[in-house]
Amino acid sequence: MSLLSPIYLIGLFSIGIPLWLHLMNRENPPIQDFASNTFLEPTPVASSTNKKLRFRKLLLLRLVLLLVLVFLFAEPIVNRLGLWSSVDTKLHALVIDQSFSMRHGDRWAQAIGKAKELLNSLPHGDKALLVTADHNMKLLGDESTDVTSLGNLLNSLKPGYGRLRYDVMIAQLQSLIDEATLPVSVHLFTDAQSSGLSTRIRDLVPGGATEFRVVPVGFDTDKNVFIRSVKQFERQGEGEATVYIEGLDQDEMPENTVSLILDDSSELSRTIEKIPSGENVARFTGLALKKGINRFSLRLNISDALTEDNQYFFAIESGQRYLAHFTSNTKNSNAEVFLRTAVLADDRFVANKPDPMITEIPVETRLIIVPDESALPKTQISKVDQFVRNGGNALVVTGRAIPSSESITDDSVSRSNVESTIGYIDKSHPAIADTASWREIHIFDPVTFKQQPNDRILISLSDGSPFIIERLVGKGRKIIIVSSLDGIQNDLPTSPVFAPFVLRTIRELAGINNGASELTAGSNLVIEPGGQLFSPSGENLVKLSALGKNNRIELNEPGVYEMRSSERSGAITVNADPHESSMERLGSAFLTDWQSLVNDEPDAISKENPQARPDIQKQPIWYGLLTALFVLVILELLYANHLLNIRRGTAS
Amino acid sequence: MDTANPTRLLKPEVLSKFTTLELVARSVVDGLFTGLHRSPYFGFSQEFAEYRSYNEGDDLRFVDWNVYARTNRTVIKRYLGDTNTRLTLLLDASASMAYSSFSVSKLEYAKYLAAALAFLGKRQHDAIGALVFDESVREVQMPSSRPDAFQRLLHLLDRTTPGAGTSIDKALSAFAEQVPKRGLVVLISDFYTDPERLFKALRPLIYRGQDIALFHLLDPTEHRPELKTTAAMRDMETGELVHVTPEYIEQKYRHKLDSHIEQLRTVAAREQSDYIQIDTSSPLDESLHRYLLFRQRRR
Repeated sequence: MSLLSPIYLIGLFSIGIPLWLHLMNRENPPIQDFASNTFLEPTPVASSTNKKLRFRKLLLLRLVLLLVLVFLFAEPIVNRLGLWSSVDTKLHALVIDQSFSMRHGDRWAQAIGKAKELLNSLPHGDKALLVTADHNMKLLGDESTDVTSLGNLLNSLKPGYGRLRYDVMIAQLQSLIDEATLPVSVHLFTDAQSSGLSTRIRDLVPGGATEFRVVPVGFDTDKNVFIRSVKQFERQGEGEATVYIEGLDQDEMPENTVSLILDDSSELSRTIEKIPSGENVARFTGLALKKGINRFSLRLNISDALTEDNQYFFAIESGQRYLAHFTSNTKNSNAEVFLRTAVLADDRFVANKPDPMITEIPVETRLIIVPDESALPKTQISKVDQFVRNGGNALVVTGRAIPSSESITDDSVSRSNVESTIGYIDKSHPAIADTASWREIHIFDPVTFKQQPNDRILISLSDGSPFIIERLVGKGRKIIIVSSLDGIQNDLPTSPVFAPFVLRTIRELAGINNGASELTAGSNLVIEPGGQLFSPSGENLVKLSALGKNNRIELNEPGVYEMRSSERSGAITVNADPHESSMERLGSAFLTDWQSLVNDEPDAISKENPQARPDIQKQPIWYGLLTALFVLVILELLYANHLLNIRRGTAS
Repeated sequence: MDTANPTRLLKPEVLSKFTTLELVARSVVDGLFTGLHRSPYFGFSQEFAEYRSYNEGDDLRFVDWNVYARTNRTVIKRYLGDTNTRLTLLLDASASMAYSSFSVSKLEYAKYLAAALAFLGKRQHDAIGALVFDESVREVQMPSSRPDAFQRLLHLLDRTTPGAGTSIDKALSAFAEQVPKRGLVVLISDFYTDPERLFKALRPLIYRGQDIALFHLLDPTEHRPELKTTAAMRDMETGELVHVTPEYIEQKYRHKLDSHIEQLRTVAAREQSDYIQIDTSSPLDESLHRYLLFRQRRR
C-alpha cells in the first residue's frame, strides 16, 4: 500500500489527545445526594483499576477511529494486480489509421473490416474503445461492450487528409493506457507507411500495454502517382508554375498530362516531362493574372487508386505592391544598392530611393530598411523606432561607424579586430535557410554588440557575439545585421545567401508568403482577433461569437482559403501532406519486431520474476476507510453512552 | 392483620402504604403488644401496678368494680406504664432527614415513630405534645391530655415536610423556655451535630427533671454506604459537594461515624439519657420496645 498524500500522517499526533484525556481523567464524578457531609473529607481520585480497565476499551476505540481518519486524509492506495489478477477483463483499444494514405484503394475498407472482425471475436466481458489517428488522436465515445454500436461507429468513419506519425500517436496513446483501469491491448489498423516512422524506435513503444498488435492493410505492390509540390511566382504581371510529380513509372510518362484551372474558369493542360535533375514536371508559363488573389487548382490526369493527391491547390497574389521604405542619410551607398537589388527581385516590393531631405515615413510603408543606422541622425532613428513600436517592422544594418541611435547605444557597440566566421545559426527562423552557405561568410572586421535580454540570436559569430538578431520593439520588430554591408567589413553582400536572406527577411517582415500561406491538411491556423478566414467555398470559418479573441482553426480540407485580418491578408493554400502519398511501407519483419518490443516485455519480466507486476494498477481504498470510519463513530457513540449510563446508575 | 408474623406490619415499607398516620400508629402499637404477649424476650407487660382513690373526673372505665362490690370503695386501677406523664416529641425536620435509599425516608420513619409513640402515650394517659424544628422551631404543640391532642399531633406530623438546615440547639432552647414541668422528651433526629454541644443544650432540660431519650435515625446507606466509583457527595442541607473515593467511604467515613455514634452513646449515658440508634430499614417494634424499656427504667 502507498499513500498519495503522506503529509496528512502528521495527524497521527492527534492520537495524543485522547491518551492525555484518558490519563488525566478527573472526569466529573457522579453527584450523589447525601444526608450530610459532616463526616466526609475531599479525597484525591484514587487509581481505581476497575475504572481504568473499563475506559481502556473506549480509549482503544477512539484511537482506532483517529487512525482511520488520518489514513483517510492520507489517501492510501493499494496495488491491484493486472497480469496476475483474477479479473481477466481487458480493454481493447482499436486504433484506426485515419491518415490520407488510407484513402488508397480499399485500405480503408480493409481496416474497417478487420476492426469489425476483432470486435466480434472479443471475449465476453472485454471492453473496446475506438480511436482514430492521423495528425491528432481522437477517442470515439467511451469504453463499451456493445459490439453493435461500436460497429456502427466504425461505419460512420471516413479517412482524413492528415498525416500520421507513429511516435506522436504512441505518445498520445500513452495517456490513454496510463489512465485505464483495465489492462489495455492496443490494435493498430494501419497501412504501415514508412513516412509515419520516427527516428527513435523507443518512441514507438507504448508502455504499460499488455498487448500491441499491428494489423497492416494495403499491399506492398500499391502504387501512387501524385503532385508533390508546385513552385509558383509572378513576373511582370504574368504567373508561372512548375508542377512536380512523383510516382510515375518511366514508361508511363508520355501519356500523362497535368491540367491547370484558373479561378474555376480557364483550363490549361501540359504534358509531364523529365527535367535534367531527374524530376518529373509540368510547366505552366504566361499565366494571365488579375489583380489580387488568383486561385489555381491542378489536376493530374492519371487514374490511380488514390485520386485525392492528384489535385493540388496554389495561389498567386498579383498586383499587390508593398512599399519597402529605405531610410538613409546617404544616397547610393553600397549597402543601399545591395539591399535594393535584393528587394526588387521580388516584384511585389517597391523600394523608394532614400532622400535625406524627406524624413517623414510614408503611410503606405510596409516595412523600413535602414542600410546604415550609424549614419542616421537621432531624429530619424527615433522615427524608425516609433514606426516599429507602433507595429511596423524594419530591417536594420548597424553600419561600420559607431552609431548614435538610442536602440544601439554607444556602449553597446565596439570593435573587435579579430576576423570571425559564422558560429551559431538559428535554422528555425523563417529568414534563415541554407546553413552551409552561411558558414562560408567571413567577417573581417567584427563588431561587438551588447544584446538586450529579449533579443533573439539568429546568427552569431564563432566567438558567440551576435551577427544577426531579431529584436522586439513595442508592437513591431527589427531584424538587425550587426555589421555593415559595404563589402569591406564582411563578404555577406556578395555571398549567395545574401539575396535569398534579404527576400525571406522582407517577406517575413512584410507578412507575406511566410510559410503559413502554404499548409498541409491538418495544420492549425491562428487567426488574430478581428480576423476572418474563408473556406475554399467562401464560407466564413470564424464564428461571430469568437471574433473578439484568438481563434485556432484546424484546416483539413484541401483548397485555397482566404485570410483577412489587420496583420495579414492573403491566400492560404492547403494540400494533402505529400509524405502520405508515398507508398513506401514498413516491412513485415519490422512490424514483427515492433510488436515484439511491446509484447515481449511483460513476458520477459514474468518469466524471470514471477512476483513482478508489470501492469499494476492503483486502487484507491478511501471508500472502504470511510465506511469503517462511519461504523467506528457509531460504536464510539454507543459505547460512550453505555459508560455514561453506568455512571448515572452509580450516582443514583 | 397477619398475626402469624406479628412484626410484619411494623416494617417501614409496609407502613408506608397505610393511608393515615393514625392507622400506622395503631397498627404499630397493637402489633407491638401482640408481640409482647408472645415473646419471652419482651420485658414489659401491661400489668396491674396499684390502686388509687377515685377522683372526680377519672375515667370510669378504669374503676375496679370488683373492689367496689367487696369494699364499697371506688378505686381506680393503675397499670404499669400508666404514668400520666408529659410526653413531648421533638422532631428534626431538616433537609438531611429527607434522605432515603429506599422507599421510606428518615423523616417518614420519624413520623411513624412519633405517631406510634404518641399513640402509646395516649393509651397511657400521657399528655402528649410535639415540636418540629429544622434550623429554627417550625411548629409547637404543647403537651396536652385533651382528647383531641393525639389527632392534632397527627395532623402536625402529617404536614411536616423537610426543611432547611439543622439547629438542634435553638430548638432545645426554645423548648426549654416553654415547657416548665418535668416529663418525657423524645428527640428524634439524625444528630449531625457535636454530641457535647448537643447535651450542653439538653442540660437545662435535664436539670429541670426532663427525661431525655434520643432516637438517632440513620438510613442504612448512611450508616454503611457503598460507593462503586469516586463520587461527588452533595450535602442535602448545604448543597456542598465533596469528592470522595470508595476507599475513603470504606474506611475513614465508617470510622468517623462509628466514633460519633459511640460519642453520642457515651455522652448520653453520662447525662443519664437514653440513646437509641435506629436503622430506618428496621421494623418499628424494636424502636418502640427500646422506648418502653426506657420508660420502665425512668425515675
